[in-house]
Amino acid sequence: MNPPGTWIRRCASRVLPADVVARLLTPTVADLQWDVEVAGRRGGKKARYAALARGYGALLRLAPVLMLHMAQHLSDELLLDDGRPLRRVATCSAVAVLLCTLLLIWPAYPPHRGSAARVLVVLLVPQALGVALPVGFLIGSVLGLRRRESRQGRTLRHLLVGAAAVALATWVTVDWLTPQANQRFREVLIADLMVGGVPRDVIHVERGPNEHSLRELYVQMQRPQRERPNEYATAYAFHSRLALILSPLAFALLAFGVVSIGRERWLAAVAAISLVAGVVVTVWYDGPADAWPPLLRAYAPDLVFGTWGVVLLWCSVKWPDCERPITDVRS
Amino acid sequence: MQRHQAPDSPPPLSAKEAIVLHLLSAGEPLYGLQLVALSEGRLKRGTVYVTLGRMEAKGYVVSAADGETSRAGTLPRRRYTPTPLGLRVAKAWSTLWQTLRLAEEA
Repeated sequence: MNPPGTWIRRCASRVLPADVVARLLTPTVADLQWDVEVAGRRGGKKARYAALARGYGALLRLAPVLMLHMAQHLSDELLLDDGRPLRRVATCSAVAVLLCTLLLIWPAYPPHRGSAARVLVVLLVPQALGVALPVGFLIGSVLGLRRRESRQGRTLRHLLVGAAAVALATWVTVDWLTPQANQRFREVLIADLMVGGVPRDVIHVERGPNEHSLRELYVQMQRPQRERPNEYATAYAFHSRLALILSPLAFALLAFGVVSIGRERWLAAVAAISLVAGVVVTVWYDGPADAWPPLLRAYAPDLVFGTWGVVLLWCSVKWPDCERPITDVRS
Repeated sequence: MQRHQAPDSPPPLSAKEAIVLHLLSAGEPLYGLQLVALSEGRLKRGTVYVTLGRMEAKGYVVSAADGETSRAGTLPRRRYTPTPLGLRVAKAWSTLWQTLRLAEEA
């Protein structure tokens, strides 16, 4: 049988820097093992358990310090240059998607804590994921490519392949998961809030544009005009969802453009966000919602992001002295 | 962020570091658990190695793994000894503290 604390030390060694393990964890575990052994020799079983409790208590007290070191170590691993930018992009994107999903769910968390609250939270996940996937990919790309050295063309190609994969995941989410989850969310909420004990199967809520799949929306758009009472909302729901699916490609261009600019890259990122915010405010809030064609309203953010990314890339090629030297570390 | 120290100021010494140096300056090299026991509750088991690690990085103490292990598989414990720098720092702070106390009394 392994001495106490062996497994903890072995597991922690995988996520902690070697010097922290040697300096903090190993002496604490060594004390635990020594204390337990001495107690077992002198005082029997009861004293041995007391020594175990003291030793694990010491490890518990050390845990916050170790967690800080672990967070620092992992962030260093993620952010430092190692010549493998795309793996870092994937890791950073996964973390960013998780955080974005939580941030989007947080304000929408149902205010009451009834029996349906847990179900409602689960049903919010696909709705948040539709936005969190592209946004997380953008954040992950900028962080993952930061301070990386890699050949421009190859990295851009790989990043676009990654963007296509994220677009596919977004498509599955917004076309299949989100409408289903939206509809179920409405049914569960209404059943729980308004009709109390009535079985949920009895509840029937009419589906709106957000509760239809892309195919259903497309079929609705092809109907004669007199059969389309909600024409604008249907067209906008269809195109905005397509725009969301395509957004990772625009985000890939933007992220690459931002990291290609050697100086003032954060200024470039802020400018991009300001541009899109300006477009969103103009298109969505300036005047009645249907003042703009649904196509423009839906695709404008993608167009602005993608165009700005291309402009930044063009600037980095046109004025290479503004660009940080980018070379393939493996060549 | 690295903190900058004024060129003529003495090296920093926290209260816990002062206790460790005081205990170690008595003579024998000590284990972490012995330091905790001798400190009468002022040093805590679990965090004592955070203090000792910091002091090692500053060059106030050195440690060596204990040669004898009681049975196979257990980790060797570490014994800590003060360095000449550590002892000088402890002495300097002690003198400074006494001077301040005397000045206050006068």
